[in-house]
Amino acid sequence: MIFHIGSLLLVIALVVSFFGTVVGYWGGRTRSANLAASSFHAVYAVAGLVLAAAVILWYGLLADQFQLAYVWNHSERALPLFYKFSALWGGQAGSLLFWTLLLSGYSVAVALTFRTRQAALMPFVNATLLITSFFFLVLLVFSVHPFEQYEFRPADGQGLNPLLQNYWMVIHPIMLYMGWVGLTVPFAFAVASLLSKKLGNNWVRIVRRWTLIPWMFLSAGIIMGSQWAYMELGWGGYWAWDPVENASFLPWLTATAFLHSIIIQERRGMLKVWNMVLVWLTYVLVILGTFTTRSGILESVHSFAQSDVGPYFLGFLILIIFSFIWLLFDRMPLLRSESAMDSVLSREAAFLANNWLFTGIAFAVLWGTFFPMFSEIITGQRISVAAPWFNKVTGPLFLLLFVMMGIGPLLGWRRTSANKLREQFTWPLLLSLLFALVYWLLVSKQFYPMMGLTACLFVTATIVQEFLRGVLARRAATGENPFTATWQLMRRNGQRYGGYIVHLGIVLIGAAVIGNQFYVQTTNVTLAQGESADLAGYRFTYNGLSAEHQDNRVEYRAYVSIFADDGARLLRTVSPQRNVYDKNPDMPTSEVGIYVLPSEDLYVVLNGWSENSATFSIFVNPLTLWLWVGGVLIVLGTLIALWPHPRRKTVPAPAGVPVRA
Amino acid sequence: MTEMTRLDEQPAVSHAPAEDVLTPEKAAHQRRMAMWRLIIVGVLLAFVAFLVLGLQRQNVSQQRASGMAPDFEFTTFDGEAISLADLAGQGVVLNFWASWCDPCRAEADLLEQTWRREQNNGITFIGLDYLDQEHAALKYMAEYDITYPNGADIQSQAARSYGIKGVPETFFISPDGKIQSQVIGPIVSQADLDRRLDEIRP
Amino acid sequence: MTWLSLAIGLIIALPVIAYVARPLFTPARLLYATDDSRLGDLLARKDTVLSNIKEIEFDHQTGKLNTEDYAQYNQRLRGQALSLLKRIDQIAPGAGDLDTQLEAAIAARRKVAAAPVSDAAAATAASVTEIAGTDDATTKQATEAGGAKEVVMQRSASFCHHCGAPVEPGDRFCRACGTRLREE
Repeated sequence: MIFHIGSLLLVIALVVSFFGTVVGYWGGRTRSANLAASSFHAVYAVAGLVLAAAVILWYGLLADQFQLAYVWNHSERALPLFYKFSALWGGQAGSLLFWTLLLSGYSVAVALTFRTRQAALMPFVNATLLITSFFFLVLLVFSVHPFEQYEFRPADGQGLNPLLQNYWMVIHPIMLYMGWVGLTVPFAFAVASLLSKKLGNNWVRIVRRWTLIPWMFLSAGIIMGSQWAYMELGWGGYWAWDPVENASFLPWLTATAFLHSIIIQERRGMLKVWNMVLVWLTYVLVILGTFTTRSGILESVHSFAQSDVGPYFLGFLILIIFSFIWLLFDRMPLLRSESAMDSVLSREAAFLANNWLFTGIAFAVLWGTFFPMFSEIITGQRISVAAPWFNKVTGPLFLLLFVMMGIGPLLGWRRTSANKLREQFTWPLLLSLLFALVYWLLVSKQFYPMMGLTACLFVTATIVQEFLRGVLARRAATGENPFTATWQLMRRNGQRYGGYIVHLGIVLIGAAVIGNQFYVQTTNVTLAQGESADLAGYRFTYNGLSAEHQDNRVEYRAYVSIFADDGARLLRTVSPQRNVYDKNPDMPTSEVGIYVLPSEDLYVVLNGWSENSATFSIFVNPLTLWLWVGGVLIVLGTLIALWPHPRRKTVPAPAGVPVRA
Repeated sequence: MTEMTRLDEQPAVSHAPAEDVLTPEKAAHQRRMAMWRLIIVGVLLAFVAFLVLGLQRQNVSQQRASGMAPDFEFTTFDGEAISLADLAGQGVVLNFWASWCDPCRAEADLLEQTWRREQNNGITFIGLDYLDQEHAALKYMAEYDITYPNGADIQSQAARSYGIKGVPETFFISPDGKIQSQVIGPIVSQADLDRRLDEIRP
Repeated sequence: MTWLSLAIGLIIALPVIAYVARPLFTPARLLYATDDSRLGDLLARKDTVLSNIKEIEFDHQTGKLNTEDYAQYNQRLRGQALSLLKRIDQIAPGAGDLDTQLEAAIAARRKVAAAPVSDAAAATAASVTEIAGTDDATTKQATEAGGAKEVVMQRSASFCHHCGAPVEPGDRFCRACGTRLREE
């Protein structure tokens, strides 16, 4: 019965969210405080109702209520408690409920933060957030039914998809959803400022911050997803340009472009329409991504089971695409640029170039992702575009982007004079040229990896130089010691220096990607017990296999010793393993055995075994560690940029102090 | 106010609506803008239209599961190849099961006994073993003395094309290849089974 | 679905509906008395200009802007900041309190602006922007004062929109830089 109440809660939330949407828009238009207050109450009420529904579903999962179709399909008695909890987002219906829950969470946070400070915008913001909630509640009530029950109560469930039984897979979706869902907030503010015609700098400042937060989650989510693929899928890779991965990457690209171009709007009052378009595009891509992964319109290794959510998503997409475009066209006269570009050699121009590159990459990825669908409709044949295509098209664009990432921060606003250019670029350029030369002579003559790594070094050099100059300038002004100066620099200039740290993270990821793209060494071997294989100067010896029954699976674990120096020195014994799940024996999962070195990962996958031999795939993946380090830096840098400014005391004005010329 | 909204000394841009004076340049500008808007809306419409078409295609394959029974082939555990097309003209009871599935046990005996009664009345029972291991499946079949054709649903192909929700799940297919009815979960009542069988008799 | 669960659903729904609908039955109020977006916008602009000043100063210190460019932009921005402050003060006199200090600071800064900008002056500018750091407090105060929108022309002084130099009433051109003054 409690589950009947669960579905009733969703129905009530549906009605309230619709009511709140109407009241919000209407209240914003008429400036009625009563209607606005009601829309706030609707936000809180929807959040409460959705939370209660989620708690009920959690109860169903944790208490093994297998008469619930969702629980039966995604859980089992023997599932570890942790995964029972995370099974809430393991399936279609539950993850949509989880999505709605996070959205209500964001809505409440926004409502509480800005209720008094942005009184004029908030009714519209509430309404836009609520209409998104409303859409997801429509799906939950009319299409996916998380609380559907069977007439009987099965003794045990089907078990959670084995691939999802991994701790990365528990955190990764939360991060991703936090990112995706959070990107609704900047969209809501954009809509609110357009509707209210309050298009000043006010909303820009809010939106920057509230884009940065979901952006951080999205970045972390994407990195964690790669980590999961790397550790769990056992094909040696971390990114496959799969539609689901692209679905998370696309909004990341446009959101990143937005985070850059919004700075120009804040500083110079330019690119107003473009920023609106980017916010909207980001939101549309989030919804489109959810649509593609859940409707089965594109095939993917990790899509959800097919269901009939497609038409609903399409309807909602049409609504948000065309209503926003109409609104934007209508308000276009209010979005004139306040200034023009002064010079090509300015940071504005660099930002603009960066925006074009991001948009170009996003367009290429979008095209490649949807190409199978286009081709099927036009020619009747489904032609998939594989990873090499994506690499070939986006590779050069990313290279250019990296170069811009080095150049941009060295340019001043408005105009950079020739002698200043020389001053700024001499050292980084010299260093990069030297590096490229050495690399070409000593390491490899391949063009792309050489250019890529040189670009990485160039960016790093510029960032180091920026920090040095910043610290020196600060020391000159305040006489602080270097550590205090660095600390104060980041605290007072969080936006800029946090941004640099994020850039550094991106550089590390870039270097790791180049290493993995061009210098992976791999082999497939079948080894009898005691036999060895050699790869890249390492020796891998197979020592034997063990089998052990855990909660709901059998773990087969091979023991492989890795030696360096032609077998002279034992580095580590790794144990790649395969888990065969009782309920899903045809989907064994893999846990790779990894020995991580700063220079490369030694990565061993157990492919199969017989009486006394086993088959392995062995990879030597250069620089992979730095991919994850880069991810951590991105989060760290974003946090620095987000950190509230220190409260500065009002010091007596130095008006009376005579200033000598 | 107007001058204050600008942060810079660039030539003043009037914030007044554009239609106050219609100079030729302005008209041309407006025409260009209108054209761009049209193009943008057109591209977006085309994209959405593609999505609609793509989704429709998707639905065609999905809806088969509720109208015509999708064809499938399998090899029985005894090594006999059977496809649904071969069975045209007979009523077919298609049961998805698995040895690890407890509710399946509730219906196993009923299905087997009914098959023995009906096998000469133009009705065929077929069991497809879903996500299972062969030795466990054979043990299960021996336990219930199952004699109607049974085989593994390799790569869950049939299960996927029928869009089963889980096991057990049973489809009743008429002699002309239409899905007459479908039962999710075990069939526990002989009366219910007989009623559904009557609908698919040749 | 049993009658009982429907009944329970109703019991849950009623307070929710009451909670959401309650504000509609209180006496009608307006969300904001007057259109105070001008003030909010001016404050946001002021903050932007001040952080712009800080930014170019920093760019200059770290060697991205040469001294001539810096001096030029700096002067322009300070002019803007000053006239923005003036506008803010006209709209919401209460908000001016904190800013008078700043205004004084910038005005003091103005006096020496004719001379080439030295590092010592830049240091002073740094402390100016430090004062400006109390953004939030200013904004809050201003928002509270926002109701009192009527323009109080308590100050006769006005400033050139280009360079920020003080102009006398009746002046048509700025005495410092020669720019044609706008009618306000």
